[in-house]
Amino acid sequence: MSHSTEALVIALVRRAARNAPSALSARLEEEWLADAQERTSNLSRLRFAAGCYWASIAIGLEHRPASVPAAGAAHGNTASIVLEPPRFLSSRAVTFGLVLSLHAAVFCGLMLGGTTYFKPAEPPAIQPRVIERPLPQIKPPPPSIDHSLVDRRVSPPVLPPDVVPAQPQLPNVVTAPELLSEPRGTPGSLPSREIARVQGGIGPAFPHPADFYPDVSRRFEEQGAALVQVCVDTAGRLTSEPVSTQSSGSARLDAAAIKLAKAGSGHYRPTTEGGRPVSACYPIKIRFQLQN
Amino acid sequence: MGKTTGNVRMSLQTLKVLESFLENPLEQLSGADVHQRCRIASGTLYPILLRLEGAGWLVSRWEGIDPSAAGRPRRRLYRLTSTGLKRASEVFASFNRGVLA
Repeated sequence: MSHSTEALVIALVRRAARNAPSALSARLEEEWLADAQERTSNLSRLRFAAGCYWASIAIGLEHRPASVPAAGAAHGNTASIVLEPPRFLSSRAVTFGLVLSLHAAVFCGLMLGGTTYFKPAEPPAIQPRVIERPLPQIKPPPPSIDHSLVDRRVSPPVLPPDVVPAQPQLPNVVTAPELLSEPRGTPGSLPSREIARVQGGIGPAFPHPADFYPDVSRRFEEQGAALVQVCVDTAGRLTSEPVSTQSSGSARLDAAAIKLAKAGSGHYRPTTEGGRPVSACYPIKIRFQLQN
Repeated sequence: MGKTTGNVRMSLQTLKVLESFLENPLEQLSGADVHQRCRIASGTLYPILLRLEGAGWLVSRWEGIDPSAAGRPRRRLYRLTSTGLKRASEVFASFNRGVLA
């Protein structure tokens, strides 16, 4: 038997014997130490010592007022023990209850501890940021054009935060195609008409970029603005797939910008020419920005 | 638990212990010897031995050696008393009658 196991067995047996009634503890200690040496393996000795512990509890429950000969008095003599009548709670029932409550305590500890110490990390909250951009300025028509025909101004679009139209494709005042076909300045011809063209943008119901912010980008705190070219019909719907024209610096954010541009189909504000919506392509800038 | 005979509760483990003593009623057995014969764990065996001893069915004495000379603790040896032999025989006979009846 290794020294550590032997020491452990002796300590367990002595502790078990001390738990027994004082009149029996010395006798049981010597008896159990002698019987422990009869065991052949270390594991068997350890099991024996653990069993002695439970035996001492059972003996203690049965022999509370017991009158037993002490070890010193039992040198080579017979012994007699007066037993109590059987009790309602037997030692086995008490032992079973102890083991059951120990298992329940360990189970509860694991369940409560697991939920307390392992909480999933919450991603940082996103706060929308309003970007103030100057409204596109409409260049005055060339001097040769009759200004009386161009007096339409369109109120600036109402934009949701984080999504701003890119710089408009200026000039915004172009000559109507039908008028371009007419010879200019020809005597007797109709006067040329300049039609105000207002580039489209995003409508008030356009989706918010925060709803399309990739989780991985949030975790890595990726931010940036992507430029996406969209072609929109008169009803504000996309007529072709949006194309990324300028990267935000992150492929994930670029993909999210394309996704957002597709999701916004039907919510674009169409380009107008002379107050009439027309199909046109224009860039929009989608900014993904994290806020604390 | 078990059936009570006199002031000893009869359980399956108690019967096994008595059976190991009845194999040779004059033989003196230590707790380790009883364990080898009936394979009862120490947590159950020693309370049974003390219970039987308290009821007068067993008597015990220390092994007649000098621990310091032998280099080991003395063993506690148990033996059936005449009362124990008679009562144990009756218990087993009653069980046999019950089984065979």
